[in-house]
Amino acid sequence: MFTIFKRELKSYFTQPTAYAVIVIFLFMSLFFTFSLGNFIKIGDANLEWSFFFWHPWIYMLLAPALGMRLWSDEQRSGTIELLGTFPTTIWSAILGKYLAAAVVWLIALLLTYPMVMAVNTLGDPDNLTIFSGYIGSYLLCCTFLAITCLVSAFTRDQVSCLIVSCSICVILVVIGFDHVVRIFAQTFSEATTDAIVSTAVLDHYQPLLQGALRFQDIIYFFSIILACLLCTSAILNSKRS
Amino acid sequence: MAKSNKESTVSHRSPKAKVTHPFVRTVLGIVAIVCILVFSNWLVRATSLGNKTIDLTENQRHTLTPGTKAILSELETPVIIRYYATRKSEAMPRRVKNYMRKVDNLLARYKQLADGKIRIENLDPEPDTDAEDSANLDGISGQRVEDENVYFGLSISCLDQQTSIPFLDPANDTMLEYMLSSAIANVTTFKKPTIGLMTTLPLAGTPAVQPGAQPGQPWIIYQLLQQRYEIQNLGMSPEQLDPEQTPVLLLVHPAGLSSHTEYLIDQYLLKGGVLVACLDSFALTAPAQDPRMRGMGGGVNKSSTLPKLLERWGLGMDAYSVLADGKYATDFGNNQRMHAHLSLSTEAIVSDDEIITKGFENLYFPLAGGFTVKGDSDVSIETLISSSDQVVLIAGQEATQADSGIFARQQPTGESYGLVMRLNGKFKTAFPKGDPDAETEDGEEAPVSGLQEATEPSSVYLISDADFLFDRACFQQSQQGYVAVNNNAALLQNILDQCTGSKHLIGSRSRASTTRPFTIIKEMETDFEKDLHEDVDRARTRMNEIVQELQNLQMQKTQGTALVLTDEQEAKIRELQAQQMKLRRDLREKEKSLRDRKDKLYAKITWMTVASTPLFVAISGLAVWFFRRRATRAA
Repeated sequence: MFTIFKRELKSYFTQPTAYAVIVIFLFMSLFFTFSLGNFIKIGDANLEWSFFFWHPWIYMLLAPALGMRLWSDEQRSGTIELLGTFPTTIWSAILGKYLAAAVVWLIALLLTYPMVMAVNTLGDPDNLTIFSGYIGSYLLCCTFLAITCLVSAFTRDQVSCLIVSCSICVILVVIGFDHVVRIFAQTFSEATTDAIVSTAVLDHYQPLLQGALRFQDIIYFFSIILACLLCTSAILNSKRS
Repeated sequence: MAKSNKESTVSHRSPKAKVTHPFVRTVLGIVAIVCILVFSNWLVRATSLGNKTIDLTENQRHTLTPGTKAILSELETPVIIRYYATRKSEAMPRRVKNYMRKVDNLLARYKQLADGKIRIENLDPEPDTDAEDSANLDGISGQRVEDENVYFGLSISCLDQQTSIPFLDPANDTMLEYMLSSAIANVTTFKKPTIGLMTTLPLAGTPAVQPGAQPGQPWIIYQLLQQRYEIQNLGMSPEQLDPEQTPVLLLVHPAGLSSHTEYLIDQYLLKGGVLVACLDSFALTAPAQDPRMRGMGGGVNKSSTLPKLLERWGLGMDAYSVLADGKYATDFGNNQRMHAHLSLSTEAIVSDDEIITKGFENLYFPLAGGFTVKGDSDVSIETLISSSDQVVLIAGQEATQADSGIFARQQPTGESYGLVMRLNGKFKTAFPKGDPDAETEDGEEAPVSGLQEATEPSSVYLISDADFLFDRACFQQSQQGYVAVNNNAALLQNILDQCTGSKHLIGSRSRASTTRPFTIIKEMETDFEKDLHEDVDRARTRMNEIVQELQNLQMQKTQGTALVLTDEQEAKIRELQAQQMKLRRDLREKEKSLRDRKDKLYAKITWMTVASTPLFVAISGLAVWFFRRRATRAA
């Protein structure tokens, strides 16, 4: 697994993919913070609304862009057949590839450190809450990456993978959005609305931004990641057989 | 991993597995995983385990205070919370909607901690529904937004007791937990709280001077307290003080208190009573003579203190000197600036998150004394309101007259004095030898009796003024009746509310604010205002001088009465105008320079943050690409 992880990670940084995704992510997240998030005008050293609020909207497009080649590429080029001949299991390959992509995102997120420095220069922020926000942001990103990993196992076409993954991520974000929740509330019963909203990522992401690390949110993110990776494994095994 | 592969190989060989297509098996596997995913999440969410939270915030924003936990764990009678929230209306502002989730979570945690003693009824008061009628009956007021009535409030009831929080304003977020806990504590207390009152002031009114005459009216604050509490007038020499009967003792200007009564108060405190004492160094409202004695004396001493008790608690108070404060002096007009009449602004409030003084803007303390912390104490001492450090101590009688030259004659002490203090903890007796008045028949001291130390923590509130409660000090008469002109009455009411409510709420603080403003900008603005203030003061002084010079010139102009200005006067006026213009220009320049400084800082931060790292990553990427390409070519 570690060999695959290293090989994958190296491949990200020897090709322009990782650089492009990181630059776009940094630029978008920081640009949104200063423009739509009104960071300067509001004058609040908390990053909850000005910075972290935009991450789901960015990840739902960029996480699939980075993850779309995870398995689609292997299937298109036929190298997936070779995997069967390697002295390794499918599960190790999945983990290796997934962790490599997750590390790229970790680097991208760590490179937003100027934002933390800026708020510490301008005011006296609650750095523990900011740390919690980073945990939430990273878990969210890993969740979207796991979904993309699953979708890429289905298809050999990267564009299809990108479109389908993006759509799933958009749905997971949007169903927790206030206006949409209001429509659900007008259409369905309270229990149904609550059940739908509880599947939305925003419902589990926002407490983390406020510094509350709830058990249910951690379970939500980890269970989706694990389920997606297990399903990927099932699909790849099925294709191999 | 290897094992699972092995198992899958074995199952391939079994005759039964051959009939199942791998695709079907995969689909079934995925369906099973999704089902487990949904079920496990539902299970975690539905159980209390799911709500277990690690609070990562600096100020423990998501953790309920020990006071709240104690109140909820001690609940004996079921409490019903009717939670009115308009959820389906589009008119509800987004920030309120977001806040609604916080209230939802908070109520869920209250319910969980109350162990079945709290029932929450969620109601959405849509127009013309029973829920809307119920909201109105419970005193929950609808807020008019975009021509719609939206509701967001709580009604808390226990048996026949009911109280409500009419609107949960997100701006009051820091007070939410205190308001809710306090409401629960209030509805579960079934008797009107009792307060014992000891005073030498005519708070409860004065008796008729002669038969047929009108008795003096009680003070308005007394009437307000009567509406909320059962007030027991104990006189100035009660035989005993029992915390079981009077859990809170209010002393208002206890002048001429005997040592025996002070001992009784000491023992009352050690037995768990809560004391609120308004002492005074010069009580303006103390009657000079007893009205019933018709000019034959019987007046009340202007000074009151608790000499033994204050000393034991580690506090000092000059019983005959009042504070003349250069910063909080009151301007009565006509150059009548009274330094001993303290008009206290928000700056005098020591802590922003103190519930008793939360939201206070102005207080008026006429001729107040001041407390000083002298040394070590057995209990914790907090100052809630303090004077400035521009204080001179003067005799009470002297302070009744305006004296503009006082600060020229006397140097300020450079010390700020406590005006409202709170003491908390397990008190020790100030009378280790027992009751000072207790003597045996043959004149020898009696054996020591009474408590030496409290077994439970208790609280004392000390206020260094008693006149602040007088009608004219805190109310103004209007067509609607008496209206509070400052926060004087609210100060006493808040203190008594805390003392008579749950003991767990005494000393509660509001939550720290969730916003963290840019302090560097605030500092820049404060420095700027300070600079500007000095400039304006300098310019104003200069202009006053010029006006004075003009008047002098006018006085010298003795010949004729024609209003013709001399050349000198005209030159002076021109000078004045030129100086005014220069001043305005300077101020404009300063404002512009502050704006420029702020803009430069913002621009620097923006560029450093938005551009630096993406640029660094992009350049790194290009460098890697370039070196790889060169290496490939070389190969």
